[in-house]
Amino acid sequence: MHELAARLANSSVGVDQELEREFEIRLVESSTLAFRVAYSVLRHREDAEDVAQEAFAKAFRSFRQLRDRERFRAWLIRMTWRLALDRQRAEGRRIVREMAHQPPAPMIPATDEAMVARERADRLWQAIDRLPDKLRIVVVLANIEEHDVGEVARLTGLPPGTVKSRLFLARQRLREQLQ
Amino acid sequence: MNNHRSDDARDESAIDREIKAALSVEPSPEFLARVRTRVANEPAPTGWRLPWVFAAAGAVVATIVIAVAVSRSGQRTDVNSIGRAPWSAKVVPEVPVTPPPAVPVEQPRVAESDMKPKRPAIVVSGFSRTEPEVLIDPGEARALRRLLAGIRDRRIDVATLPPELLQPLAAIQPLSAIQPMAPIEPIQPAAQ
Repeated sequence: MHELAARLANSSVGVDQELEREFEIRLVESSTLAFRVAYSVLRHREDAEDVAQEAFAKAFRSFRQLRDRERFRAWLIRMTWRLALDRQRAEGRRIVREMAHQPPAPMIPATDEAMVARERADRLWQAIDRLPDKLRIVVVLANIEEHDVGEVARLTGLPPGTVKSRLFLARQRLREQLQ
Repeated sequence: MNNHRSDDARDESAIDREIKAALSVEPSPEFLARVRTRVANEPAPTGWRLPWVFAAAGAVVATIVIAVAVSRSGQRTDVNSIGRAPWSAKVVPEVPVTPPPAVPVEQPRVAESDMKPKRPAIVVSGFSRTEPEVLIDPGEARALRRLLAGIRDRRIDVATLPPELLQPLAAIQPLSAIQPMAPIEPIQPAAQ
């Protein structure tokens, strides 16, 4: 009886170690992806890292159900996206509150080239932010790590045809807004 | 037309390039280490440990439960007749246990609802009623009794009765053939 219990305990430890090893592999291969997804929403490095970290912590808790690579990445992306949106809404409310009580920051002088680039980037992000969530996630994922339509479909859980049409719509709207 | 399409394609690729450039941000070098630390502080992944062990245990328990249930349902049919000990007699307000009369004409059994409440009798709870209870309408029984009494007292001429009525009556035994039942004494509980 004791032998059986010991064997069960040993096998349990072995399973745990194997899980941790697998999780480490997933962490290394998906950390940049999760960070960039969070960054596409928040555009703040520290906040994006916090959100990605939170998503990995949640993924670890449910890792027994997420051992498959594709399933893990899809779950991680959706979780990161949701957490980032939540953080963005919370931050938006906080910033509005703080700006109501603070004087405007002094303007920092910048070169013309830098200013133009910055304006262009701001316009791009504003255009992306104006997209509906379902179009935004598709266009962001398609531009991270050179994902093709099939990969975006797997990550979002959508049919490839839907991804293609949403990508087309998103690009069309971005083009209209940026012209 | 073709120029318009090529302009669109050029715009799209330019937009994609811009988005790619905007998203080509790398996390800080400490990011992975921070995630590892955070994960190390997390509780172990939830879920079934060794699910096959629990599945096997569950299957065994389910099999035992089903086997017990099946065996009990088989015994339940015999409980009334053999399952109870003879000393498990109890007092119940019921008709005394008597065999059904040989001639139902003299003492026809009527519906229990029409019977007067009787003194509680002691019956063995293991008794099983194997014969179906015959229910006769009290009015019908009274009429039949009157008819038989009239024939016996020669107040009614049998010859005047229709033959189809007399046919079943021919099989009825005379009343003198019935032996009255000895009264059944209640069983006294054993002294402690």
